[in-house]
Amino acid sequence: MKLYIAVGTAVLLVMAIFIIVFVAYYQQKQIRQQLILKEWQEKYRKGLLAATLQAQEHERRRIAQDLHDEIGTMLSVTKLSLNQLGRTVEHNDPGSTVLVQKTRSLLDETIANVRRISRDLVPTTLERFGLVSALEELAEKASNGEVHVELSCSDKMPTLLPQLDLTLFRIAQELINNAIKHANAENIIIDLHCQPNGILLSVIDDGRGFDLDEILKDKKRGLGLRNIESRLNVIDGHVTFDVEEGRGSRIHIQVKNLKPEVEVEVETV
Amino acid sequence: MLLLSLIISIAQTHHAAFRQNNLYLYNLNSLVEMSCIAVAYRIELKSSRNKAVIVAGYILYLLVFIYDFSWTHIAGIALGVQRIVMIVYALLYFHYILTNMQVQHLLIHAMFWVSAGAIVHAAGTLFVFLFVKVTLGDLSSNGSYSLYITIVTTFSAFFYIVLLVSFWLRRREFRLVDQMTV
Repeated sequence: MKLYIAVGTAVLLVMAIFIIVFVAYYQQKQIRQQLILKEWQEKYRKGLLAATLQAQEHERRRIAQDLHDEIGTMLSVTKLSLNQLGRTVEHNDPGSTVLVQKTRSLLDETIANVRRISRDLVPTTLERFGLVSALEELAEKASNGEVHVELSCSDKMPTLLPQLDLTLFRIAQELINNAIKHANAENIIIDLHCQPNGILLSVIDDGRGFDLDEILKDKKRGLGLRNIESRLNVIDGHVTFDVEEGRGSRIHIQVKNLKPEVEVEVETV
Repeated sequence: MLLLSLIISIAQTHHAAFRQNNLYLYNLNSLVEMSCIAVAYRIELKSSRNKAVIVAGYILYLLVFIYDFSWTHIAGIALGVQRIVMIVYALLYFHYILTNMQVQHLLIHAMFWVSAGAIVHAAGTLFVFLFVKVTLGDLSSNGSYSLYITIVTTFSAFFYIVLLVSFWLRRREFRLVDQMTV
């Protein structure tokens, strides 16, 4: 009987130890698989995001090209025809000259607008002369009598990857737009600095600020801020919002100047 | 549980020193152990099905304990049932951690070691108590009592050491949670 008890106890102990080892091994294996799956999902999500942004850029480019090549050309041809018509009318019906001139100035305004929209859609300065020049142009365009936008930049800025250039430019564009439209800022500073581990872009304004949590809670609002986060996600960058309602905002973007895993193709026109 | 078991052990030693009956203290210790373990698993296992199994196991144990309790003998059946219920609780917890996959590092998870200690302790002493008349019935100097009681004490000591380590791990887990929430 005592032998049976000893054997039974030994069998039970072996089973208990086997169960413990099995649980520990199997759980760790499952956790590893879960982590791999998560990593894969994250990679897939980034890829999807990158593809969406790429598609967005392609679409912008296509619209810009259509505006420039088709509508712009048509308008130029229309202007030429109007000029010819104007010359004819001047001889036969001097009374209609004012009307022709008015139409011509409207046409000039339309051509200028089409050019502006086309240029806004595709940042050609960025592609031709780099981020600093594009930001300078952006600051210049955004500045007017009421708003003053200033660019502060490191003397030696390294050449960045095209997708990094584009991301930083789009983010700066979005933040300046927000500062002017929503925060009613009068002074905006764009600070671009090269750090040993990457690039730091800060947009500082003296506007009325905002409550970040409140904006992010509301799904209908904060689209621009979410867009910034999405863009940074693709290039492994991160954003810090130093914001509060009633005071100016300081938004800092930090990105690594390394080749990211997911590349966004940038075409030149 | 550790404190109560310590008090019971001191009382056992005291009774033994004065050659008084201390066997009922094994039974009381079993009740303390089982109650504390049932409470711990009831807190840890979140699903209502698991909670129902824990309560049912505890009620079963209590009924057997009341039926089998004796002031002069070790309640072998009650202690055996306690071991079986402990094994069930430990298996339930293992199933829970395998299905929920919420524990990142199992080897530093306190409840895993509590369950591992409980299952080893229960498996090592189950037959000793189920066949209590054969194992702990012969109190003579040539009998098997001292051998089996040493086995039981060794497994209990192992379980309590594992519990102490688990307390330390639990404290560490709480600290980590605090750091993450601050």
